[in-house]
Amino acid sequence: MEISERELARLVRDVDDSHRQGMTTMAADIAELHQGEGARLRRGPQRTLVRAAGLGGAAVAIGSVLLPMGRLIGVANAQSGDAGVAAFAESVELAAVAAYTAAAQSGKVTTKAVLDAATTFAGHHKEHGAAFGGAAGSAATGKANQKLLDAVGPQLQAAADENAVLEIAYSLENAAAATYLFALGALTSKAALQLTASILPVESQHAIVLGTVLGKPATDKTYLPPFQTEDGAVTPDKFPIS
Amino acid sequence: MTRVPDINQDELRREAAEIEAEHRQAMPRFRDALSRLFSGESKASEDDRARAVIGMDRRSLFKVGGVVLLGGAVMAACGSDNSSSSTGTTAGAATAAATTAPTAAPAAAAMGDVTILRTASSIEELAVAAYQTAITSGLVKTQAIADAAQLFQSQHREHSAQFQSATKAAGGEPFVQPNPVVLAAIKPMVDALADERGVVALAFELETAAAQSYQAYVGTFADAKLNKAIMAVGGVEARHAAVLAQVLNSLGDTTVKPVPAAFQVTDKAIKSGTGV
Repeated sequence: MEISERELARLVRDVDDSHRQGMTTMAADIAELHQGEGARLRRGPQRTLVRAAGLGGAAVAIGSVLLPMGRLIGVANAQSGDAGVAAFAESVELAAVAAYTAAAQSGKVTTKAVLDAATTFAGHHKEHGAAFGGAAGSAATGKANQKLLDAVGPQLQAAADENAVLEIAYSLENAAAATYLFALGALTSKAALQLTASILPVESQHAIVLGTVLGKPATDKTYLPPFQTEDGAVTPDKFPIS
Repeated sequence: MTRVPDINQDELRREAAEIEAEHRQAMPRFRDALSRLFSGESKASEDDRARAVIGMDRRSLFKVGGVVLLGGAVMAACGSDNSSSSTGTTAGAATAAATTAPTAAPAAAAMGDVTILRTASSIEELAVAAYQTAITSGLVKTQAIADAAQLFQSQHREHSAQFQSATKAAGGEPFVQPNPVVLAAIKPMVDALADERGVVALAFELETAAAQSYQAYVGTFADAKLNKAIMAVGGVEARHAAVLAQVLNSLGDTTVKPVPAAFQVTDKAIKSGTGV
């Protein structure tokens, strides 16, 4: 390894500094969410996830789990509106935190730099979860999405080695990016839209780092697609929060 | 353009020599990593993994200077040959349609959308031109980097075509040339462009600016559908930036990061309406 432990620590500190800098902006945005448009969020918007029902027919993929996407109307009452979407996003982020934690503790990730990256990415997801939780207000659950954990957990347990674990993380990050594109079609308040738009690129960049580590070719459309799509999005109908 | 004015000439020469030596040392590994990326080989060594995550070497005192040097490529491409911006099939088709189709004045509410979309296509055309310069400048010596430039350029053409089409749909006239204001702003950088690393650094800056711009536009559209449309592109620009950051890391510039922070910021966003 060409990077010293001290250098790694410095780089992690750099990331943390940038992270905190970003959080200052986010804190203002979240404050706007509740002090400005928050009231509308709590009432629930006119447009809901029902609008996205027309997207049915696409597929949801988490790791090797492939599920049909659609029939969102049935869950619209429970998880509709900006607050509902934010609460759902919070649950997805907390599931990602749990997945990274499990991966780190599995003993299967043996490359120190990769382990550090997983820790950093888990920290990012934790912050995303907190931001979405703040946006969700009273709709926030503070809990990881159990359905998502049920899908990812067995895959992590079955993973044979570091690469297998990284493939699951890669799929999860791409799914998160797709989910937030999906959410951008459902959200209505400027603050919630901007919060989501600030997170989608970060999940995409997590995927790039993991994809590079895995040696994904540039021709892999999950790695360098011409457009971000909703393929693989995690949706409330299949992964409802409890 | 005066660069790094507080450093004396001896120090500049010494630092330049160190950077050059570091550069030469890094190049074989850099080529290996990029070749794998664009050849489809899937095996990455432990060192590759470390570099992919955080970069490999330490400082790059000349990072800013490096960016300045890189900039040269863009200017040559954009300033001398705007035709490169419409050489792509889809972009070309969209451009032709835009110049022949009658355009009604958009409603007031849609004017903002049109302005944003025109700004977006101007950014994409700038990126197309910048990559064209990179490809034809002779400064890019590594085949994998040239391949990356071509892939990213083709994707920017698709993005531009998409934004031009959306502009027409919103009742506006598509903007089909590189953004003139941004182009003028980077001219001093372009004039000093000297090497491959400079090209990559410039591309990184442009991709970052594009990604941040599209994020900044979210929530400001009259037509809510455009929030998704703009981020379907914005997410891809962020991916491009991450790849280029990894390349720069492999060249010894660890001041840029594939994932800069938990939340993308908008401090480098190009304000809607700039130059269009």
